[in-house]
Amino acid sequence: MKYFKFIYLGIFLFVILALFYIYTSIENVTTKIDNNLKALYVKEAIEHAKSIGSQIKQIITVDPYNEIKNNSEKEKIIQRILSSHITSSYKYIYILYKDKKGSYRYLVDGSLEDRGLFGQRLNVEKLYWDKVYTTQKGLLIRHKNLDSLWITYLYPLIFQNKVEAILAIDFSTSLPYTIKQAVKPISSLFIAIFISIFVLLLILFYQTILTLKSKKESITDQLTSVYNRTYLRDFLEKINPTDYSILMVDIDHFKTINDNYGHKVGDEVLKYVITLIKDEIRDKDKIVRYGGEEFLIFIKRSKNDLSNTLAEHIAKRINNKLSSHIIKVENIELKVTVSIGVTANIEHFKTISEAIKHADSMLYIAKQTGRNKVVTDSDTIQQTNIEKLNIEEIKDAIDNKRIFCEFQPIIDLRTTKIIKYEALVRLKDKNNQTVYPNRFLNTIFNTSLYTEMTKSVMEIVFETIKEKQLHISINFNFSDILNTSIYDTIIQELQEHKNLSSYITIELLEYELLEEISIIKERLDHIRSFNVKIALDDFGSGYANYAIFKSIPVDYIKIDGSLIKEIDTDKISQKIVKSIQILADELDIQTIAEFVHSANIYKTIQNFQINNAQGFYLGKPSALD
Amino acid sequence: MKKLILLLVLSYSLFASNLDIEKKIYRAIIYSIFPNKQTISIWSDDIRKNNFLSSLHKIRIVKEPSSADMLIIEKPLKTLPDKILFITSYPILEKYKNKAIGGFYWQKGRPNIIFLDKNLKRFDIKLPDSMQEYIEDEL
Repeated sequence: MKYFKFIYLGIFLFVILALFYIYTSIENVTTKIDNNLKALYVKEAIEHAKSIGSQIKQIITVDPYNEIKNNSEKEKIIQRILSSHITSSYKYIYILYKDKKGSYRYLVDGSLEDRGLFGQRLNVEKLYWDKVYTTQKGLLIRHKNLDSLWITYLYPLIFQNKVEAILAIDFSTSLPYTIKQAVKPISSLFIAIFISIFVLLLILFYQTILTLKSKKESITDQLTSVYNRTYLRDFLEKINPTDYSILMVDIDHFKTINDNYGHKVGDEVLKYVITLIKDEIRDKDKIVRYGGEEFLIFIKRSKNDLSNTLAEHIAKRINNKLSSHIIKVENIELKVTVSIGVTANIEHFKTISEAIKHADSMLYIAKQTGRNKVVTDSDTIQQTNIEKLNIEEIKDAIDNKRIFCEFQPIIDLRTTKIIKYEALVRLKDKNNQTVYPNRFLNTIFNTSLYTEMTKSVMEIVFETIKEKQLHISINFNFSDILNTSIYDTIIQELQEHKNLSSYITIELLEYELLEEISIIKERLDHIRSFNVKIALDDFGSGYANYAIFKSIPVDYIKIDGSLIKEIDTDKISQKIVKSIQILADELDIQTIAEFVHSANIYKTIQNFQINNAQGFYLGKPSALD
Repeated sequence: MKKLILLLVLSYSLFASNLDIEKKIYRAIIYSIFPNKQTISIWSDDIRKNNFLSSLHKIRIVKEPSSADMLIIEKPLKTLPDKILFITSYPILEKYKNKAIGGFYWQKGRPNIIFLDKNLKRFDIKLPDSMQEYIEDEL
């Protein structure tokens, strides 16, 4: 179907070319006929002129003007000679002389009609007639503006090497004119068609400009004039991901700028930063406003960049430019820095979404390790961050108690107070670098180390609850509940900390695996008997099986981040979230919105009556003070 | 209907060129004779000329020769008021060579303009440089 437009365009071009070909062919044929006729008549006219000239020389000896003026008999003889050559094609044959003032007057007129008298003036094309006087050669005049005349042939009458008069033969055949007039409507029709096509093309051009303008507006962020998320969706669908490296750029302490100087200054800072960033990237690179002060930059990879360091190089240039620049907004001088996460080796990831998430992770590392820096997967040290740890390394971390948790706050949207935290497991490697679960959880899944890690995490959580008296959520898969070893560990920990178990919420993932629902229900009921709350994580994405509410006791639904992160602009997301909230209200279940990363998202979900919220805007995962 | 439209288009094409030339020449002649007059009253015995002259700026066609600033005639008149006289054929110009300031006529398919010097002087008409070449002492 997509090729149809090319077929239409081809047909359209073919029709135009065909019309143009027909038009030029008609014009060519007309010109050829005209030229052939002209050659035919001219040849004959020259013969007439030569014949008349030789006959006149037998009558006139030296001075035609005086000899004819003084001898009316000579005038009559010459008139008869001229008249004898008159035909329907050569309507006027006459002789003019040039007077002292340079005007041309009749000497003899052999024309049978419209005859001029001796001495009568005739307005002629002086330029050509004078030329015959000076060159003493015959000349053709093509009359373009006169309807009844086609061509005039001028033949000099030379006496004693001097042109004394000019013999003129007017071709008055209407044949060329008739042909021209016959073709004229066809030519006019073609010209009208060409004008219509031109006007049509102008309209199409105008419409295209309007469409492009409208499309550009819909994919452009109004504040910063860079691309928005709408563009990002299309862009990600169209590109070959491996052609690009990804930078995730975040303005450091931007919230502080907004809080201290107001949103107006904040907006100006955003615009200024974008201007500086644009100076450092190329036209073929794409910049997208990803969140409030977060920008995604797609760096077009170069074939010559074998070491794949271009993205890092550009990221460092951006970082240096910002670091060395003082931004002046409304007489306020601000030093603004950026943290940048880089995914240089995009081919390491299954999907581009994973690559973007990875750039986000790199950004997170940059921010956690002091901000105003570039963290890249091509960096030798950071390279280890995308490589999975082996079993020995993980075991070593568990044995040496290098497992720890970061806690992300969950806010009650009515009171804006923190009601609980979500515990997120991390470990420190031998170099004391923080390692995230994507690098170790899959490795130990279905091994005894996984159970050991579960135990470690639960102990850390209970120690924290004991110390801080806080409510904390812990993530499990449904498969963990089915795994007797892990389930027993959970129950054992709950029994050991029976007095603290009511502070625990278990967040459950992957609830499509519900083949053994009766066992799950039985085990979750047992867990709930310790006053533990149950939350369904990432609800609304993947297999959102509503039947689960019939079997599983649920206290919280965590609405999936993919629905929340664009809820301020995406109407479909808004409708789905509304329906989830209605369902939750009916079932008396609390809701938690994940991925609240901007003020706009925060304001939007408040209007949707969602109970609780969690996300970078409200607090990033970190150690508890 | 289509034939009629084609005929009209062709007819217009046939006559448009010479008519346009004639219109331009008359405009130049009349504006040269009356360079400062805001409204020029013309009387003509040729309906065709009345039609195209009436479309020219500043020119008003009058019904009576006596109320005209200029008479443009192609045939002799029984009574001739003492007005600026302009002739549209050579034979008639010869007839009125002592009264007419000049004439414009077609000969051998060419537009011909003649002004007679002594009659121009009689009406104190001074033609611009562009018209000087058409002034004749006599026919």
